[in-house]
Amino acid sequence: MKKRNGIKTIYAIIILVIIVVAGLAAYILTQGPAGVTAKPKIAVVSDIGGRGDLSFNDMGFKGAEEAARDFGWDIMELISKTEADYIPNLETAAKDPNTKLIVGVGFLLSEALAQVAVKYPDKYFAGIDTYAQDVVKQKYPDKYPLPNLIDIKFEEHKGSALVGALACLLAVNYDYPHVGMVLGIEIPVLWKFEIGYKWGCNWAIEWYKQKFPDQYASKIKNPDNILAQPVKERVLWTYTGTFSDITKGYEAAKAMYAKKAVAVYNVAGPLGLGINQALDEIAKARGLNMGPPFWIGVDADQDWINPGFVIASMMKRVDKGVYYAAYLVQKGKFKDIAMKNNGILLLGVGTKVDGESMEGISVSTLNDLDEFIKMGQAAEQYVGKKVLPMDPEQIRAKVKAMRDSVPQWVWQAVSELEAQIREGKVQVPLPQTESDVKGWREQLG
Amino acid sequence: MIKKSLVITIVVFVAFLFLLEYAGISSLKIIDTALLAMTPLALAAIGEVINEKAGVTNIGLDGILLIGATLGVYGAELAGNGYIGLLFGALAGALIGFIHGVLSTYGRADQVVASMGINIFAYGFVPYFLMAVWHMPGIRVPPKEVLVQLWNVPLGNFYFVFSELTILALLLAFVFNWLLQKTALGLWIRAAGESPEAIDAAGIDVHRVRILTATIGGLLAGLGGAFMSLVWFKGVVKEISAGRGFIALACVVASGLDPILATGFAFLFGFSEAVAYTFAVTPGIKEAIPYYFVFMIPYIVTLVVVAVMIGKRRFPRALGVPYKKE
Repeated sequence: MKKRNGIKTIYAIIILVIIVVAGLAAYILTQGPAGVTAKPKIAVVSDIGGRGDLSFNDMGFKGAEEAARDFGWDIMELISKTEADYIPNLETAAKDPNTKLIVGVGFLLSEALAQVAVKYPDKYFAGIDTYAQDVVKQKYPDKYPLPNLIDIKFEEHKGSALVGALACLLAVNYDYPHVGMVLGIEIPVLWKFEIGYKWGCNWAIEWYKQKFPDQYASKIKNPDNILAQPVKERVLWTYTGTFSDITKGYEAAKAMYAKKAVAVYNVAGPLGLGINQALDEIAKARGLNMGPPFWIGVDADQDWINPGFVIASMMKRVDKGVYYAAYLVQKGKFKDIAMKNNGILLLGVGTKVDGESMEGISVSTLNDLDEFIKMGQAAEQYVGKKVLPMDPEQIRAKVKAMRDSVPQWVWQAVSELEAQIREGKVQVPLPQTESDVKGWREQLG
Repeated sequence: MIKKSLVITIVVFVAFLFLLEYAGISSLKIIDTALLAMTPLALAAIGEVINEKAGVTNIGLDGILLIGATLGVYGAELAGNGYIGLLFGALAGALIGFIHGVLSTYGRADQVVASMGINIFAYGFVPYFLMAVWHMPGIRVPPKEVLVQLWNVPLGNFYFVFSELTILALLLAFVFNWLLQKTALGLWIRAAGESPEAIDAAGIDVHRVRILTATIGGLLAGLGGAFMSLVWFKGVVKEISAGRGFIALACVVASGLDPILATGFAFLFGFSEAVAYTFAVTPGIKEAIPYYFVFMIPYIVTLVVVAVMIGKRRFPRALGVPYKKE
């Protein structure tokens, strides 16, 4: 009996020792040489959905990676699975002694961001599309504006106006009656896209009337041309209520292409793949090698997904925003800029901050495509297999051929609108409330 | 009884198609969209019907759709052939189904919990896989050569888009119905769900039957997922299933475990989605129905049809209960 007990005890002790040693080892190994490298860190806290949304969160991480590379920092990635994760994620980042800048991507993080920024005044915080300073104003009015917090917002309405003008002029040129737009969940940010696009379309048609009065007079007689449609029927649009269900993107776009929309603007990230499929069916049926019809990408450069059929992408340079925030921290200018601008940075077309050009919105160009292709090629080298859907030279050639096939005056019109926006000669509407949106929908459809 | 309601359904459906044409909406375009949307739902639903008939619940269909889509693309690129990719996705689904089957029988697991685990696993596995294998978070667009052809048939003014997998799904609905009703295997499957003790006494291994159905269920769901990425959308995004696995489950339950009816519900859902989005951009109709009501249409239609058409539905007595041999 005693022997049996003895053996059992020995087993127990051995197991205990193994557990303790393993636990200690795990603890030590995961700590890493923390005290030794005092490498500053940039922490990026994503919204629910995390990376891989093809736009938003991905661009945020891209900017952080570039800042880390340029300034010799480390990156900490924190993905939020639910809204309850926001504060714990932000706090985890803030508590780390090496983090200098904590970036929250997405307007849903605004409340959490404000709360944590107030709690850790010696850390810098930046939000993308957030209204955290507004929250500070309401909840901690004596602390407003927080010097260690910047809300980085974008002028999506201006970018959307540019692609709206592009789309409608394509309709005028190729004799199509409509343009389309597929949106995701109806959140206030998306109103900017929606109204900007419609306004840009309207601007373009007025522009055409001025510039080419004879062609205008003859085209307006063609019932298949957008000029002949009532104003409120020019743009076919719908919200789908999702940023992930590509089947809905497909169904919505298919209905729009069936009604002869010349271009469908993707305002729902991954749904571009669904829109693309709807377009592809038409391309196959008609044996097309390039558009029209087209679709328009959003946030990131999406021209590569179907070269020749994505006329352009409305790029929201979230990556530049994050990079810029890191740059300010690196140069020690963060507090200064934050105080000067009430803690809000609005990046758009022709934006200058402190004398430096800080554009955040643009229509994709061949240069952007090259940048993206380079990223893809770097990834291919890293992974050792093909990442891009076709040979990069082919992608570039097709996109260029597509752009060249569109008459120059269309591109010139877009440039003109961009210049006018930059110089403040036109005001693209910025709907802030539901009544704003309703008002514009009454006017523009 | 069934025949009468079937006739009524067909009449109502055809009448509705005429109404659409009258409103200037191409009904053929709606039908081909509906058939495409039906295919992954139907495949997953038919598989789950067989599974539940034998007494195994698998609510991990959404996860299997997702994994089938992702591994289908992977397999296609590996082999350079889209059909092999479809097989790969189907086999991945079969493997998961098999594991779930073993867990539900020998493992005596709580089937709902275990199959929910499949979903959770998939939601994490897919983004990880996309990044680890292709170094692109969120999307993979494979080279065009490895895709499976989606057929475009010109019909006069229109072109009708369809895939052979849709035909397969429809065939399987009838084949499995025949299998369940008219074959010995079908009898064992139904008995495994209704009174496993009886066939155990007759010498048939209940566990083996259940593992078989779980594997078949997983295989079909995996195929449905691979269809979405290799045939339909020509790429995979990290949330390509978007909860459709649960819609498939709804079809299963609403049909009372009838493969043909489940396929019918899958078609109905796809059809009402297509109609809803067409309404959203048709002048005249879009003013009458604001777009936020439009989204609800597919779900409301399905609920209404379930409420009206489905009377009492019986589910197998031993559904979800692991069988313990005495």
